[in-house]
Amino acid sequence: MVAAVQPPPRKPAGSPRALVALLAFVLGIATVPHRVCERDAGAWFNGDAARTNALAASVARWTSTDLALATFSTGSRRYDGEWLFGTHMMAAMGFGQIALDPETQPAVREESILRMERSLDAMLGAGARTFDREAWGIDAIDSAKLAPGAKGDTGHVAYLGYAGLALGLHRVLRPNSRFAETDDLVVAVLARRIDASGTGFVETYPGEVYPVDNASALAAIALHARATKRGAPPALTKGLEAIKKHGTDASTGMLIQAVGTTDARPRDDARASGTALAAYFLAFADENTSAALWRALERRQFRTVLGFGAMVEYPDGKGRGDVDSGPVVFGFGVSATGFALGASRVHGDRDVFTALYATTHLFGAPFDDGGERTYATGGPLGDAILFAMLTAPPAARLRKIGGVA
Amino acid sequence: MKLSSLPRRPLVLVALSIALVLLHAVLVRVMAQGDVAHVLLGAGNGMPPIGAAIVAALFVVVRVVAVVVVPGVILASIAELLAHVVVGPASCRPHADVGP
Repeated sequence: MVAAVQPPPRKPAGSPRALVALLAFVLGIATVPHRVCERDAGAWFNGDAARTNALAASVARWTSTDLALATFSTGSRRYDGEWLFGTHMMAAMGFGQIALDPETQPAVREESILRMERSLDAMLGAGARTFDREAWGIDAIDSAKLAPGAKGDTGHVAYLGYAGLALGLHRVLRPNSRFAETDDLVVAVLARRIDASGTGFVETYPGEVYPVDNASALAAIALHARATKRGAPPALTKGLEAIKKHGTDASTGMLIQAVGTTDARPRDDARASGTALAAYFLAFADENTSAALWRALERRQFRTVLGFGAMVEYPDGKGRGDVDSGPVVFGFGVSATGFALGASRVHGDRDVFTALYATTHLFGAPFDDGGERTYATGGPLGDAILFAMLTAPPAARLRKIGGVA
Repeated sequence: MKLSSLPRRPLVLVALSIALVLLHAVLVRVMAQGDVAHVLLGAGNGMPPIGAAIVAALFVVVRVVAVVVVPGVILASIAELLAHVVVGPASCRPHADVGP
């Protein structure tokens, strides 16, 4: 008789050992990573000097080197120019916000203002104005010097608004400086162009109106008024009304990304990236409008995955994104998530800030070396934006600017 | 207990995890130089340069795996090793049964 060879007994499909290993794996990815990544969030939220000084040192290094259009590689000369300008503008905001913090040591405050002034010089330099000049055929500052109502006395709201906001913050810190004259000029022309606009909006480029860029202009006007104690011009009220009436989507409460030049009708969706950035800008102009945008954004677009927080770019979660949104991955927007850090800090939303910071840490990849912190995936622009957002002043601090309690 | 008597799979996974974390540390240092950093942010505007895009994409994948997946893998490996120590080897049954 031949011995029968039987097959080995089959292992049960879901053995307890495999189940325990699977549970351990799930426990590992659900509890450890986001806690590791958010460990700095509390320090950033509280304005820890060691953190801010390290990132400030990195941004100061970036902006003291010869950044040029070639530094950036968007594939578009205009966007490269916007990023060069944006790097210096956001750097100026970050340095200014450190100086604005009453907890900042006097020596650090002075150094921050000096660094801010270097960024302002670069921001106002010919290189950083190129993108706007090439779009309009006339330089933004030169257009501001035209006679009111003259041909060419129109538009440029992105360059003038962003620059005006940084100049306004500097004006709060140094009311009488070599930048005061430029600040006066920029704010006067912004107010004049808002006054002259049929919609309350001013164009960024010929035929293109973006409410978020107009929000920066309103912040510039408001900061100027509070720094100089001259009182806000009617253009501020008109611009804020335009944001609320035409720039805000009634169904979502979020900011519409683009509107028509003559009718202010929506030309794009209400989107998280514009809403988050406008919530940050408008905190300098009108706390209530900023808070309304932030609440809508947080309520509708904020999600967490394994404890990591992020903002969905489009209201329906669909859309490819563009240079404003940065990459949109599974519906989540890189820019929206970064800008929302600033808005959440302004409005004191610690939990959302913490979750967003965990994601920023994960994908930003901070790298500490020689007393500097740089976010490896951000480069000069990413570091500068994070610097401005992570040091965004709480609303209570902004209320005190200009002696308003 | 000898190391050689431990199951191979969790040990290999832990070794791979450590290697990945080390690779990640090197990539962070390379990325921090800023040469390819803007490729990620600029991707919304169209196709970035292929070389830089590969480095950037590789970095993101390695970082996500190193930060998010590795803790789970290590915990699962520890669980498997503990089970081996406490309960014994996973398969100690005979592979063939010879009848009369």
